[in-house]
Amino acid sequence: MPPRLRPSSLPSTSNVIPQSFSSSPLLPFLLPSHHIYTVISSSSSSSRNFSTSKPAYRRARGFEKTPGTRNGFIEWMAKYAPRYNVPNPTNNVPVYMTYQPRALPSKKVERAPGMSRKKAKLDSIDWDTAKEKSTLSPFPGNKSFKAHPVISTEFREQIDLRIKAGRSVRRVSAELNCELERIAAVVRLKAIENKWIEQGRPLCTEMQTRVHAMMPVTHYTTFPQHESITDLRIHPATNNQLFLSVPESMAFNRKDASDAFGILPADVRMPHSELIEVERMKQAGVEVHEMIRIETERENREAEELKEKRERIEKRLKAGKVVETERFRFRLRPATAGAVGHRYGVPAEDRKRGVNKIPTRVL
Amino acid sequence: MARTKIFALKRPYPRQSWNKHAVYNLYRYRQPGTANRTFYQQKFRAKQETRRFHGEYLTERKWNSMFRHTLRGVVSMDPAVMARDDGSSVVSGRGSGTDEPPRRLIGTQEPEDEELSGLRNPRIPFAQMTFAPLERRLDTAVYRALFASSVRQARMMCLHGKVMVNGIKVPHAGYMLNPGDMFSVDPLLVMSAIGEQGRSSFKKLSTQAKVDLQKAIEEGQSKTKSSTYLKASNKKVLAGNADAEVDTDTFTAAGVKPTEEATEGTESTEAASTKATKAETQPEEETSSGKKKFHLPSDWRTYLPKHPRWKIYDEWKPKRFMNLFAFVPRYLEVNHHICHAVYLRHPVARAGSAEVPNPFNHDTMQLAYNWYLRRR
Repeated sequence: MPPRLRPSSLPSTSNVIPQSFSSSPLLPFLLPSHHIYTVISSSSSSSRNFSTSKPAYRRARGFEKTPGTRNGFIEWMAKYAPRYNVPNPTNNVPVYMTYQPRALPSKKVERAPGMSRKKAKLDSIDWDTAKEKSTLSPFPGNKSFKAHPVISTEFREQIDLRIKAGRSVRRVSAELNCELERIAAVVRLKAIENKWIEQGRPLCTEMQTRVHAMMPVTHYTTFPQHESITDLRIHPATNNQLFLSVPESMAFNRKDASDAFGILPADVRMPHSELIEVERMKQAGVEVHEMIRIETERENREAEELKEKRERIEKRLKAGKVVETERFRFRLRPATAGAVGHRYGVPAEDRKRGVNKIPTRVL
Repeated sequence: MARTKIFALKRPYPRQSWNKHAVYNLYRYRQPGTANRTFYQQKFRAKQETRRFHGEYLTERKWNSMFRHTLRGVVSMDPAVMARDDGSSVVSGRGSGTDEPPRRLIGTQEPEDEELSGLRNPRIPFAQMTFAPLERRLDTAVYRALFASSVRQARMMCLHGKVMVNGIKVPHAGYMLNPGDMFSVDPLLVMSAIGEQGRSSFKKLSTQAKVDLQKAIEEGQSKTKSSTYLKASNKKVLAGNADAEVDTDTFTAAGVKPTEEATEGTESTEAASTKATKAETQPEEETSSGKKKFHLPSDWRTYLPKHPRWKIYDEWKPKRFMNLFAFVPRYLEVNHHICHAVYLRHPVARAGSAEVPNPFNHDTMQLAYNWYLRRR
């Protein structure tokens, strides 16, 4: 058989990293996004005079190796996977999936004479911003999902200490810039943690530290900026347009708008609405002592209200006749038959085979 | 029945898993194209792609009943601005605010850079919240809290009754969490689920080692009922002081007889080996007589002399590629010390970011959302 020109001896068309970038720390960004067809086997593809095609049984359909599938995966695991598997990132900078989403900027770039277009475009990329973006977005295709930092273990301690010192959840939340719910949750979790330590149950400290080392973390500082605490939930009633004729001479403020929609105004619905009053006092130039006095008064008033509310609930619960059995505590209240309870004779599906009734709440 | 083969290499789909195949598929994943396709085709393709990622084990009927066309969003308010302004300036004049430049000037101003304007006032990506109802599911929440390495694994944990909600076992993967619900998984299970795989399998152990192990397990189980609890008398180990000295008593659970106990590690291993040679004949008789059936517990490795149970707590290593998925969404508060987490509120979208993690861009999600709007 005469020597044939084999595709392996042709110049490789595979994606090759430019030599100048090979040592760059930005290598992951410069890599092409898809390596399905990357086959680099220059060393093995030597020109031989004899046939190197596979024997017939190898060429059978079952053995055919396509670059995109299994072989491509094995190659990727050998070449690129170590770059992505970083269990101990340096300086706690998380390593997420990165690839350059767009090859080069599509718009025209001004360039100096003698400079290639490609070089100019490469230079025009703001690599710092690109890296910044990719450090916080685990999915490079989705720009709108960003990994938000979690609070560190020390931060949790600080929250717990402040609550134990008798401060209200609302106040700690405003001080440390954490959502109200988060503060409450941290306190609950911390209580369980302390119980475990008391009981002598082991805690997974190693796992906690290693997991936190892999993700963005907000560390405790004097004025931590963890998240926005005044996020106003968009009310579903405001999703629909509402046409309202208003005289031009009349001021139409937030209060009027909420009345038109039939909801509470944003000043009330916003979490930490008390901060608006504080800001108002600041802008009016009220002295600090006075502001502190007013705030303390408000806090005391709120605490009293909460206490009263709890007492009322307790009183209501105790109002009916209580019958205690081994298993249940029945609270009996007077009721009229027919007005309450289920109608008899309505079949319930939940006892059927294959139909399970998932609880809607667990208390 | 949900399909079992989910990591195909020929046609890559992104899946919610840390599996190496899933990572490879995610790496080379391309968003579905829309060129030369009808609107129906675009929507159908987008729906296919997104559903393969979000709850692929759920039937379409189940998901359709969970879908809601209302999407949650929040707006960040500035108290200083609200104190200064009662909001009337926004609608003053003809109803669109006084700050707007006159119409005739709009064309003359230089058009703003697209990226810059996007950074300055980013839109709320509502379409990304299409699959937000699935985030309420217990199995998804367990995966998001980094207690499992895939949603399927999290689902299995739920169904096996390993997940507690507010201290009560909830064996329903489809339980919809309410704001304020606290869920938890056994730490040993979590550490094995998101940790490095153990090296040796039970089958590879020698016969003698198996016998020793069986004895150790039986002994350990008779002493302590639960595998998680350690005796209060053993000053051990705990959190915060991983370097604390380990009492020799704890090794009793690890297969070394108390009489042969030794403080140093080398001696203890020697003792174990001598014991192994001595008691060669006796345990075989016991097993052959077959008094009761022996069940290998899932945490049998912790009973090996070389892998005492405290070691798992102190020498845990993350699973491969865990760093690519190491993030906790804002609607959860997780404590890995005790493997408890709290579902704070429902996920929301805010200007520039949404809280539902997925690899799809806004266009794809918008198409998928439109698909599910169809019959509503």
